[in-house]
Formats: sequence, C-alpha cells, structure tokens
Amino acid sequence: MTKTTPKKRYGMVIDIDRCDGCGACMVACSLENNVSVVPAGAAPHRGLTWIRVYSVTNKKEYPDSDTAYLPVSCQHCGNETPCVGVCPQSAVDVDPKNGIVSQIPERCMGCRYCMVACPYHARYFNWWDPEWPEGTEHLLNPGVTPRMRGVVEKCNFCHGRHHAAQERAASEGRSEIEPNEYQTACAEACPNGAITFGDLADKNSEVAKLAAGPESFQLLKSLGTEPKIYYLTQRGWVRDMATRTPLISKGQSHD
Amino acid sequence: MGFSVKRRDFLGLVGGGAIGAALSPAPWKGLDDIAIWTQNWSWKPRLPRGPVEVAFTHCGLCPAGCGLKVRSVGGNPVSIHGVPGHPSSTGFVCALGLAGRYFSYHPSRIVEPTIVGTSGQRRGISRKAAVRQLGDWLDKARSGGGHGSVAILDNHPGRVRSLAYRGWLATLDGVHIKGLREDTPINRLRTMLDGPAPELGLDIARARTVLSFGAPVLEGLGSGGAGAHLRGRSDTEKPYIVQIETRPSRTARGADLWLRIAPGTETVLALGLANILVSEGLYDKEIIAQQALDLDGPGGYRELVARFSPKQVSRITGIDAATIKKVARRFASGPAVVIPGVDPGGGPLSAEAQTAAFSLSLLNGDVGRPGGVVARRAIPQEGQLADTVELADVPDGSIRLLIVDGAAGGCAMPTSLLKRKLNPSEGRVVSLSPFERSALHGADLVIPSTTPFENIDEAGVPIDAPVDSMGLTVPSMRAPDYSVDSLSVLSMVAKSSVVPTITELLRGRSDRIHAGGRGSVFDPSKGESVPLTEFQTNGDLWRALMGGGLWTDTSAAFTCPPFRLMGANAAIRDRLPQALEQPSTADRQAREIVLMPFGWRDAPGDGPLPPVMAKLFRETRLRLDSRFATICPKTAGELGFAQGDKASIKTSLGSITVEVVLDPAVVDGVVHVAVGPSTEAFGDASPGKGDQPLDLPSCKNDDCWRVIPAKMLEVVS
Amino acid sequence: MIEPLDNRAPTRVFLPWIGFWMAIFALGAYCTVLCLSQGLFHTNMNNRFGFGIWIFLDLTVIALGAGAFFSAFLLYILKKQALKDVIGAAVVLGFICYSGAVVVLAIDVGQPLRAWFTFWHPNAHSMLAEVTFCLTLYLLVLAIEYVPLILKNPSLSKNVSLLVFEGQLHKVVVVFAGVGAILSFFHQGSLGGLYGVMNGRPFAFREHFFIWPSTFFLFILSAIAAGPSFLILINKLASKISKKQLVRKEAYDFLGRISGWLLLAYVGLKSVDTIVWINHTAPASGYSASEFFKEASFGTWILFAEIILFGLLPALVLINNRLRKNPLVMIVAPLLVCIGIAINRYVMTLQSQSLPTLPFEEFVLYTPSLVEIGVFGGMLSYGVIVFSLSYRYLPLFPGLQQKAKT
Repeated sequence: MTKTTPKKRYGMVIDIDRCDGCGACMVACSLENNVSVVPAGAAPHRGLTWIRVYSVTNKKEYPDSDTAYLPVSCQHCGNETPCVGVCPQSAVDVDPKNGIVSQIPERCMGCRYCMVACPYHARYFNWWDPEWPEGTEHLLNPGVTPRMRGVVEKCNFCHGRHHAAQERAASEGRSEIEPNEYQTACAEACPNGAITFGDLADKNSEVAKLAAGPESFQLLKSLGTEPKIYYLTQRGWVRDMATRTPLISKGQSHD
Repeated sequence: MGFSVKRRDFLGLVGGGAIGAALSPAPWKGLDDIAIWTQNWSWKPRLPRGPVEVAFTHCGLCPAGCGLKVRSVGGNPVSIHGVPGHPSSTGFVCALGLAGRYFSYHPSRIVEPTIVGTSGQRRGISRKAAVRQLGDWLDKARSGGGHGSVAILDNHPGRVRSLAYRGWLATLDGVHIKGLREDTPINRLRTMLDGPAPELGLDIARARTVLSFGAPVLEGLGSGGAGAHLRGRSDTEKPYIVQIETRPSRTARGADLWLRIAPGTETVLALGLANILVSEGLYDKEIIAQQALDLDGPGGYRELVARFSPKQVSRITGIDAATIKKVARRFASGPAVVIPGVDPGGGPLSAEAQTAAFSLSLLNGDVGRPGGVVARRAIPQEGQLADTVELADVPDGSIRLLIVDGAAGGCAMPTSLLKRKLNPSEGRVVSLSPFERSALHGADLVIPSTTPFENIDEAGVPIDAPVDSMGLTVPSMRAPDYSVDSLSVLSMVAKSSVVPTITELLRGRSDRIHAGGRGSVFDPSKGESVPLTEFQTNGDLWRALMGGGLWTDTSAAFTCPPFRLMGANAAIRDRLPQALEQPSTADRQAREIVLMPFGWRDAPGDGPLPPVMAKLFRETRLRLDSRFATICPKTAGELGFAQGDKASIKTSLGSITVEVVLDPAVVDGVVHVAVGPSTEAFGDASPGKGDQPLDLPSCKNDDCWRVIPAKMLEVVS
Repeated sequence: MIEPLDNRAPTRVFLPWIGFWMAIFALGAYCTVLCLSQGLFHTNMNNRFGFGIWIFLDLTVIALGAGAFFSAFLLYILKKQALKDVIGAAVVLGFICYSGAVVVLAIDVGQPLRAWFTFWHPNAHSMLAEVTFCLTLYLLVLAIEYVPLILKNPSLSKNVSLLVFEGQLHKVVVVFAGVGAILSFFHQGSLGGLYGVMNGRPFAFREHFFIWPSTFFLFILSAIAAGPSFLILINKLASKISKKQLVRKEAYDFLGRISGWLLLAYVGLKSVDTIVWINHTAPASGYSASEFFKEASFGTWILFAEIILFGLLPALVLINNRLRKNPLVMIVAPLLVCIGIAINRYVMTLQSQSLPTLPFEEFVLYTPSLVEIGVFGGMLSYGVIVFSLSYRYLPLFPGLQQKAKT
C-alpha cells in the first residue's frame, strides 16, 4: 500500500486595485511574527517589514495622477530561488512539500549574502538587538520565537500558523490540513480582501484560479525566478512598471 | 623489569586516542551541543505561556467601535481578530486596533498623578493630594465665576459616561464640551432643524451619491470596514463617491471623482452646487415648499446662492464649471449623503462651510430619507443634565477649571485654541489622560486614567449607523493600580452629588434597553443575532453585552421638521456671503505658502501610538509623519527646494523643520504636513524638540486651523 | 629574547613607527568591540546594502594578496628563480591580506559565534561556502609557509630542534605551494562567482560555463594579474621607507612583465564579457544596460575607468620592455593596475546594490560610517605592524641578507 502526500504549492494573489495602502497587513504581520521595531532615528532601509506596502505614483499631475499600492513580501520563488543557493550554511530552506521558502534564523550567521542576492529586497537584517517596551513581552505571539540581533529574517507565510494547523490536524488523525485551517496574518487582516492565500497546486482553489486569470502577473517575471506571489491589476501603467519582459529571447542554452 | 613510557609510546597513545575519539559520537555530539548553544539566545523575551482563552469585546480606540475577538494566553491578550458577521464592523479591524493592546505598556504612560509646580517643573504627587488639589481648584472656580466656569472636555461624547459628566456638571452650573470627533458636524445639521431633533446618522451604504468634504470616507470613517465595503462593492447601487479635498489623500485617490479644491473654499463650492440645484430646479420642491423657512425673501437662501454662479465658484475653487454642474446633477439624482469632514489633524470645516454643505442635504430632501440622513430612536434618559456645547460655542476666557477626559479617538486640536477658552489668569487644566502626550499638552494636573482594553465603557455608535446600538469595551487586560476611572475621580471630589460608577451606568442603560424591548442582540461566539424579546431578564441582556454582544435598535420613520437652510445662527448666516471675498491663492507673495495640517485616520492626532505602528511611518515611509512636508514640484522649484531638502515652515507662533517631499498631485502653493505621529509617539525616549505642527495655527478668531498662512524658508545649518 | 636582524631599522626609528600604527590598531579594536558587543547598527549598511566597504575591501585585499600564491606557484612549481627575492615578502603579504580579511569578515557577520556553521552545515551550492573553505585552508597553508620564515630568525635558529623542524618544512614547501595554488584558484574564482551567480541581480549576473559564471574566471585572472603589481608596489614602498634596495631589478621586471601580460589577457576577456553582458545577459533578464549607468554616481565613466584607464593602459605599459626600465613607470603602472582591480571589486559589490531591481524601489547610495572605516584602519595597521615586524626580525629579503654578509 502506498500513500502519497499530494505536493502543495502555497502562494498568494494580491489584487493591487483593491489595496488602498492602509498598512493593516504590515501591522498584522509584525504582530503575528513578533517582528521587532527598530529604534527612533533609524536610517532608511533598516526597518523590519516582512511585508512592505510600496506607494507608487504615475508621476502625473492632477487630474491624471494615480497611485498604486504594492504589498511586497518574500515572493517564495519557485525556480532558481536566488537566496537558497547563496547561503553558505543552509540557513535558507525550501520545503519540498509545500514550496515555502523559509529562513532558519537559528542557523543564520548574518552574512547577508541572501539579502544582496534577493531581487525583491524582501529580506531584513536585525541591525539592533530587538527590544520590546517593558511589559510587552507578555503580549507577544507565543507561537513564534523572536529573532536575535545579527540574523536575517523574512516572510515565511506565517510558519507558526502553518505549524499549529498541522499539529491540530495530526491530533485529529489527519495527515492533511484543510484549506480553511491555514491562512496568513496579512490575508486575514486585509480589510479590502486584496490578499488571497492558498494552494496554487490545487486547481480548484481561489488562489489558483485568480493566479491563472488574465489580469495576473508576477513581479520581475523576466528574471525567471517564478515567484509564488501573483498580482492583479487592470491598470496598464502599474503592470508595465512592475513586471519586466525580456528584451531579447533567452537563447537556446536556457530552454 | 621496569615499565617505561617512551616518547614514541606517548605520542602513539595520544594519536590513537584522538583517532578513536573522532570515530566515536562524543566529539560530534559535543559540537552539535555547541551549535545549539550558539543558536540559543539567553536574553530573548519570555513568551507568554498558559491556558488559551478567547473572549469578545469592542474596540474603544475610535468612533467605529469594531467587534473584536481577543485570544489570551495566561491572561495576556496575545492577538486580536475581527468578528465575522458583526452587524457593524463585519470582521474588520484596522492596524491600530490590531496593535491597540500595546497602549497599556506604552513607555509614555503616566504611572502617578503629576502636577506642575511653581517653578514650572512637573512632579509626581499622591492620588490623595491630587484629588485634594482638584477639589481646591473646583471650589475656587465656582466661587470666582458664573455659569460655565467649570467644564469637562469629553473626547467621546454620547456615552453613558458623558451623561454622568453632565449630571455632575449640572450640580456645579458647569458645561459639557463635546470633544472633536468625526461625527461632530452632524450637530450642525440638528441646529438647522427647527425644534428638538433626534440623534442623526448618515446612511452612506444606501446613498446614491456621497459628497464628502474632506472626510476620510475610504480610510475608516464610520463603522469598521465601511470604506472597504464601499471600495469592494461592484453592484449598480454602489454609491458614487465625490471627494472634495485639497490634499491627495488616500480617499481622494480612491474616490470615483476627486475635486481638488483650492484651500478653504468649501463654502463657495457648496453654495455653488446649491446655485445649480436652485436655478435648475433640481431640489425637492415639495419638502422645500412645506418646510424651508428661509428660502425666499430678502436675505433668503435663494438670493444668497444666486451670487454663487458657476463661473465665480470655478474661479475661486479651481474646479471647472462643467464639473460643478455635473456633480450637482448627479447629487440631485437620488438620495445623497453630505459629509463635512473633520480631519483628524486638520480639524473641522468652518461653521459656515458645514452649514452650506448641510443645506444641500436639506435641498435634496435627504433628511429622513433612506440613503440620506436618518434619525435614530432614543432610549429614555433620566435626571438633570448640564448643557452640552461645542468648543467653538464656548466664550473665550470663560473656563476657570477644565477637566479633559482621557478617552481615545479624539482629533488633535491646537493648544492655542484651548488656551483661548481658559480664563487668562486663573484657568486651570486637569487632564485624565493616561499618556504624557495627549490632545492637550501642558495640563496643570494629570490624574492618569485607564487605557483602552483596560476599562469598561460604551463603544459608541458610528456616524454611518442608521440605528442606535450598544456594545461594551469589555476589559481584556487588568488596569494597573495607578490608573483610575474618570468617574471615580469625580466621585472623590464631588461634594454635593453622588456620582454613579460606570458599571452602574452601563447596567442602567442595558436595563432600559431591555425594558424597551426593541431590536436584536448579536452573539459574537455564534455569529448570529437574536431578537431582544428572547432575553427573559435584564440580567440575560447584561450578560450578553458583557460577553461582547451588540444590541442594535430598530429603525423608525422620521419626517423632516421645518428647517432653516442657512441655520439659526445669525452670525454664521452673515458670514456665508463673505465666502466670495476669498483671495485667490494664485497671487501669493514671495515664500508665502498655505500650510494645511492633516492627520491619519487610524493614527489620530498627535497622541501616542503602539510602537509597531512605526512600521507604517518611519520604517517604510508608507505614510509620512510630522517630519515631512509634501509640496508640488512647481512650488518647490520656485522656492528652491528639491526632494529631501530640509525646510522651515514659519508662522507668527513658531516654526517647524521638515523634510521636503515632492508630489505632483499637490496643489501649487500648498504644503501638507501631518500633525503626527511625532518621534516620541511610538514611545521612544527622546522627547521631540521644538514646535509641532499644531503649535503653529493661531486660531485667533475662528475655530479652524485647516488653512494656515505660513512661510517656507531654507534651513541654514 | 628574539633579536632584530642587525642591519634593520634602528629602535629609535622603529618604535615611533610601530607606536603610530599601534594607536590606529587600538582605534580599530575599539570599533570592533562596538560592532561585536552592540550590533552592526554602528555601520552604515542597511537592508539594501547587505555588503558594505568591508566586503569591497576584503575582496580587493584578497585579490592583491594573490601575489603570495602566484609567486609561490611560479617559484616552486614553474621554477622561476627570479622570484626568490620576493617570495618571503609575498608570503607575509599574503598572510596579512588573508588573515586580515578573515578577521574583518568575522566582524562583518552578525553572529560570528556561528561562523563555523559553514563547516557544520555547509551548502555545497554556495559560492560563499566555497570561499570560506578555501580561504580557511589557504590561510593555514600561508601560516605553514610563514613558519619557516619565522624560524629563520637568528635567535630562534639557535634552537636545534626548531632548525630541524624548519628544514623539514622546507622540504614540503613545494607541496604546499601546489595545494595553495589550487585553493587560491578556487577561492579567487568563488569570490567572483559570488556576484556572477546572482540570477536575481541582473547587474551582477553573468553567463555560465558549466557551473561557473564568467566572473569566476575573471576574478582569478584579475587577481593573478594584480598580485604581482601589488608586490612591486609594496616592495618599492618598503625600500623607500627603509632606504635600502631590497629586491633586485630583475625580480621587479619579471613581476611587471607577468602582471602586464596577464592584465592584457584579463582586459580582453573582461571586454568580451562586458559586451556579452550588455547585449545578451542583461536584456534577457529584462534590463537594458543603459539603466545600470543612468545615475551620475555610477555612470559609464566608471566602466571606462575600470577597463580602459586602469586596465588597458597599464597593461600596455607593463608589457613594454623599454617602459619597464623607467623606475617611475614601475610605480605608476602597478598602482593603476591595483586601482583598476579595486574599481572592479567596488563596482561588483556596491554598484550592484545601489541599483534597485524592483522598479519602484529607489536608487540608494551608501557611505561607510566612521566605525566601518575604523575597523578597516585597524586591519590596515595590523598589516603594517606584521610586515614591519617581519621586516625587522625576519630575513624577508634574501638579497639584502647577502649584501649584509658581504
């Protein structure tokens, strides 16, 4: 008797036209994953935001001005994952069972090569000792270990929630978790329902249908990293700006 | 025969031992242990442990009062979630609500009463001494002044707590001042109705058109998630949102139509729209004929709006005449909601702008019409209550003792505005805020109260709720001993009256609701509502409310009473035509600029914020805080500024230093600066240096600080 | 007591010299303590600049230190006896460059206590793991090559067993030269590979030959081209400071010639690589090369400087037998070579990070903090101190030794 576990491919579809830049996803993510706050006066690009909402304008004047908000987290690349190959000590891991790219902060020595290699600028380094105001450690999420100074961290599709869902399933004698048992904090928090999370390998899932739709695209598709985060928009300028197409064909060697 | 160990033997033993050891698991286990040891982090925070509990409550951080599901571990709330199916918030929680539990541990929290001594230094005193001091000031204020010399500024008016304030003030001949909130302007509409008016709500969800004068309609105005629902709707009945706002706010960018109006010209636009409605006969003729008291005749409304021709209005507001006509016709095509916005940092519109805006509702016959302005049924109240007024209506210099309630969710106000209302020599301010930095800085005495999530209170009824409701902010954290409920403070200083406790008050309202027998109660654990009649005893209802339930009333038909299109206040009426005399912003002098302060809807005013909110501000600049000034590239070019330059914005009251940010969507000649958060809002130790944006407005004559003439200068380092 | 060699710097000159560098070293040590005890916020690196001045300088220093392995390879394997004069200095220089780089790397990582995890949980696909392995082993080799030099100090060579040990070591030096050459080839290459493999960074990514990107080979070639030039510079500098002729002209000439020809080969291949990158590799990833150079701080001028001004020009000068006779040329041209290699490492490390890959991210510039400069100053002073001590106490320069004896 062989029992094979179907391979999952967790991913996300973010509808840019629904995102209004409120930032609830960023706050929900930081609270869920015990992401610390950097001190006052920190220079730009030193924060820790596993998901970061970019505000992008078309640089036009009223009344033609338009703004798009693009939430960018780790794109959980599926092919030639740029960060995995470069880590000298196997602290970046792609789970073959579900495609989640995760950072193992306990093993990371903080060389930051993965950050340099990531085209999405989605990896963050702990430049400071993480600090929480006195007393607030009791308010942290007990399911996620805070990281220490000097290591890299990033979005792992709320590993704590995935783990909890798996444990719950196991305690009930199930080997699989149901789609409604596992949801990322950002998707849950988005008031506009702009973020859809789920299993891209399940063709009937909402996320797979949206990702296959004509309005979907991936950030920097031309790099060939095959991100598992898809974006939707009807606005041409947003799509043209955020996705890139190869200017020439890749050549025979890559086919 | 001797046994001797030669050097070779010794080396052999050591070498063999080493090889043998290497083949055994011991050294590798040791290395592994060292690896694990270096992976551990002895000084990492201790995570909460203990039994997991789930409770339901309502959020007290803003007027929306969202339903919350609180997951606690070992008695500590470790996560906040929305409540799906909640009648008002439908599962929504904003960024601030998610993080609100961190307020309790905010580093700027005041842990003892403090008083400003004669030297100007703030020092801690005992609660007993603080209450005694408050009692002394109270006696002095009463003996020295007449009506209104004692006042309470209530940051969340309309709760049962507010009724207790008013009951207490009634014994002192004091006044109850409504703090500024997003629903404050609706009182203006009530004053335009002839005779006693019920509580009013704006039925945004069923409106055909929403005419928002700078209200954050898509950023959290009204009930939780209302903006998201508006944005997400794809039905044909979806309201058409017209955002009339100078600043390219998130609502402006997301609205169906954004009218980028010249600063401070809202009155002109509103009367210009009225001009088209009247001249084209687009108003509700039946209601106007029956109920309008001031349409015709000399000095009447018709005469007033006739002066606001589309051409004139277009010149002043910067919006072309065709668009004005288009908006007026759209507005008249069905039920509409007009919202004179209160900016969380920029404050309210002027009284005449509010009046002009609401006159459109009356013209359109929207008062009492579904999809317009609806009336809420009342729950009977008892006892004698003091007058409740708006800050604008308080005479200057009249207050000798001002007690500022510590509720969250009020809008920021310039210090100069409040100072003006105080008696210049004897005016004292007592703050009950739990934080050092609150709506009013520089209180003479601070008696810290509880933070949201620690105190029980009423969640409030959002502006867009068509019916009355009652939900409780059930505490999910224990209040520390140094904090005190505001009613306990009053009770301690009360001489001649008995102040009820907040629980008694809430229970009283719950019992009266039960006696009324109307409406239904939502059970958050089941996600469904049951009729109130199914609750056998008043105790049953109380238990349901304490379990995070929400009672909602039934709606009732309301016939619009007679009204005055220009309001009852003669001073305001006289100011309406003066709006045409607005100078154009085009002919500004060198380096002169219009400063428009603004606030973020879910990071209100300039008060404290949970540290994690820094993610949206200083960690990413998704939102700009008070250190940044946004101007258009043209203005920047004329003034000699480039992106990232430091600039000084100066008025007669002071100056602030900001970093220039360019945005081509901003109006020429205008600079937008957020009133908060400042650096210390997130609880950082370093106190802010120099003036804050709200220290700049003068508010000498009126009560508005949306448009401030200023100069923008280079910073010489 | 270890005595200085009799004809070296007198104490009254040596002490202030060493004292000055010790002071800088102390400053560097203080900066190091700051970083190690409080965190890397003392640097100006950020999430967009994971690599800063330290990585750039480490790479440069390692490239320049390539003189050690390359000289050893030429002398011991290819028997180029002209290099006998410089091999001692080359080994010391190599040791300084490599050990300094390793120490700075240890400060650069956020959790130095876990640096050994690379050996415990290695990722065979990672160029950085390859670098770490080769670097560590080669540092060991350099240390082994350094030991005989130390043992040649007259005070130490009095000890018979040490002398025997030195003799034994000398016999196997050929083996170490060979091992060192292989290790060095690999880590110089892997350092280039660090950038060339980044498929997410179109500015750095290059075409691959089997598993190696072109930068792998270009870094090896540029390092062995620059190493000899650096040796010339340092020996000339040491001669200048000590006011003694330390190395014979033939050795300089040989080093110059070999540097020139290798550099010429490098410039040729680099040009081919650049053309392929501009016309094929980058466009295939969706980026046109013009956007890489559109910011003034990293304009096309830097490409010109790297390849022509500091590449082709010194190469043509150094291969010219007549020009090499000119002592001034033999200072300027190697200097240009070294600067050129530094520009290459600078561009690969910093320009590739300044350029955003996300279209809505900004172009950012980075300037090192004082602490970063301090740490590097510490490393530099460490190098000067070790070289000075070696010069004073060890027979680094056989030529000088002979002169002293005669």
